[in-house]
Amino acid sequence: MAKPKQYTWWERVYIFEVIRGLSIIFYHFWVNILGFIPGLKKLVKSETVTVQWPEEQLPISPRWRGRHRLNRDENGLERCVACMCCATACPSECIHIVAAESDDPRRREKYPAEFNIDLFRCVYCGMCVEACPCNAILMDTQDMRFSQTSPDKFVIDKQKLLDW
Amino acid sequence: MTLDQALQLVVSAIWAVAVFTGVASLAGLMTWGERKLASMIQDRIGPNRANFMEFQAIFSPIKLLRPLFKDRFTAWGLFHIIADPVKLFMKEDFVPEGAHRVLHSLAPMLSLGIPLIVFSVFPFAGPLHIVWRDIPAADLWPVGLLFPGDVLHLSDYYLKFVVADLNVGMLFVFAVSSLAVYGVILAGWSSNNKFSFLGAVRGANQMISYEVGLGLSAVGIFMIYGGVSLTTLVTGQSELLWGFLPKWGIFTQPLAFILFLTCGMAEIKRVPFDLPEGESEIVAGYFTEYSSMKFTMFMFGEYVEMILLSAVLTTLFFGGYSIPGLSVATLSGTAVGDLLGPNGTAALVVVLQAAKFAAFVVGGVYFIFMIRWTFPRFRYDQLMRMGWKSILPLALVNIIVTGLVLSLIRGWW
Repeated sequence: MAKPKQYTWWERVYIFEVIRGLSIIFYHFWVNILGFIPGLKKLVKSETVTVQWPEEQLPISPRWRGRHRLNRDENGLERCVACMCCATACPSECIHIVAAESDDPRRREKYPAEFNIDLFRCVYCGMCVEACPCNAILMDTQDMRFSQTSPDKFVIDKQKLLDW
Repeated sequence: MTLDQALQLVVSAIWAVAVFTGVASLAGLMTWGERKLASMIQDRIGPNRANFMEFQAIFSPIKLLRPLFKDRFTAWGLFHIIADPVKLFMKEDFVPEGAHRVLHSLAPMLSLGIPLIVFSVFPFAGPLHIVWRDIPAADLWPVGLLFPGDVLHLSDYYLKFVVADLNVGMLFVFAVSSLAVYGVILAGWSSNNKFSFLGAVRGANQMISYEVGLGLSAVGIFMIYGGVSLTTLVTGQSELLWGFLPKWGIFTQPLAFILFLTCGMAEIKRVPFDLPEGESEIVAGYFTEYSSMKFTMFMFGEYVEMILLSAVLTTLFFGGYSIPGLSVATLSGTAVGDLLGPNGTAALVVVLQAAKFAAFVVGGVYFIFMIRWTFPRFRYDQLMRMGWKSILPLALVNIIVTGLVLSLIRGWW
C-alpha cells in the first residue's frame, strides 16, 4: 500500500493552493468563452475540443471496420462465389448465405442467392474480410450510423450490401 | 390604517412580486448557466441543441430577420431552460411505498419556499427621496373613499426599495434560512429509504454545525457597523476608508469573509460540502426518492439558496447596493446632475445602485459555480473537524480582535 503523501506547510494552509486551483479554472473559462465570441477568435485560441457531430466529422482511418459491403465485379454483379469462407470464419455466426447455380454467361457459375448479415450479432472483427478469397466482402464503408426504427431492419440483405 | 400605510403596503406588494420574479428568473437562468459554465471550464461546448423549429418558421419569412434564423436557432442552448421543466413535468410523480405522503410532499415546498422568504429583507437600492405634494384623500377617487379626511404625504416621502425593512435584518436571515434544514430532514425521513435517511442525517449535522460558524463570523461586521438591520449595514459600508478604499466588509473583516463564505457554502449544501447529496456514495442523498416537479423544486431551491448566499455576501461584505462616492449629493453639482434635474438624478442613482446590487449577486453566483469545479468533496470527518476545530475558534478570535481594535480606535476604555 502506498503511503499517503506528506503535505508541505504551504499545502496544508490550503487557501493558497485553493487560489492556485481557482486560477486554473478561471483561465480555462475565460479562454474558452472569449474564443467563442466571433470577433475575438483570432486573438484568443479557444481550448474547446468538442466536435459538433454529425455536422462536422473527423476523418476516419481507412483501416477502420465499419458496416459491411459486397464488392462488385466488372459486370456490376457481386464478386462473391458463395464459398462460405466468411460464414465459416465468422465467430458470431452472423452471415447467412444461400448459394445458387447460374447459367448466365455474365455471372459466375456459383453465386449467393441470398446473403444476409445480422448486424445485431456481428462483432465487427473483420474475420470475414480476411477469409474472403475473392475480395468480395469488405468493411470499408466507414459507416457507423445505421440506427433503425425496428429490430428486423438490422438484418441486411444482398441488395443493401451491394448498394451501401 | 392611514393612507400612508396603505401606500407602503402597495409598494411592498410590488417589490415582493419584483423580487420574486427576479430571483426566480435568475434561478431559471442558472440551470442553464451552471451547465454552460461547467462545459466551458472543462473545454467543452455544453448544451446547444434545444431549439424551436417554430421560431424559424415564424421569423424566416421576415426578410430582415432571415440571416438570424437561417440555421437552426438554438440561442447558445438557452431553450434548455424551457426544455428541462417540460421534460420534468412529463415525468411520473412517484411516491415510494411506505412513504409519509404529506411530509413527502411538504419537504420540497419547504426547501423552495423558505429561501424565497428571506429575500424580503434585502434592500436592493437606496431610498428614493420623493419631493412632490400632499394629496388629500378626496382627490384619489376610488381609494380615497375608504380613508375619509386622510392625506397622502408625498411632499417628503422616502421610497424604500425593500419588501420589509426589518430592524432585526440579519437575525431574520439567519433564523429563517436555517429552517431550510427541515426540508432536508423531512425529505430524508419521509422517503422510507436508507440512502435518503443517511443524506438527511448528514445534512442536519452539517447545517447545524456550520450555523454556529456562520453566525459568529458575521458578528464582527455587526460590531463595526453597529447594527443587524441590513439598511444600517449598507449605510455604514457606503463610506470611504482612509479616503480611497470603500468601507466594505471585505476590507474591514477579511478573515470573516473567508469564514462566512465557507460556512455559507456548507449551509447551502453546495460543492465541496454537498455531503447530503453525495451522489457517488448515497445515490442522491435526501432527494433520492423524488421525481418530476418535486425534484425540480429541490433543485430550484438549491439555486435560490445560492442566490441567497450571494445576496447575503453582497450585503455584508460588498456594501450592498451602495456605490462608494455616488449619491444624489455628489452628483447634484456636476454636468449629469444639471442635465437630469434633482428628480432625474435621484432616479439615476437608484437605477445604478440596483444595477450594482444585481451585478454583485450575479458575480457571487458565478464565483460559487467556479468553486464547484475546483474542489473535490470533503470527507465527513474533515468537514466536521474544519467546522468545529478551525472555523469556530477563528471566528471567536476574530470577534475578540475586532472588539479590541474597535475599543482602541473609538476610545471605549
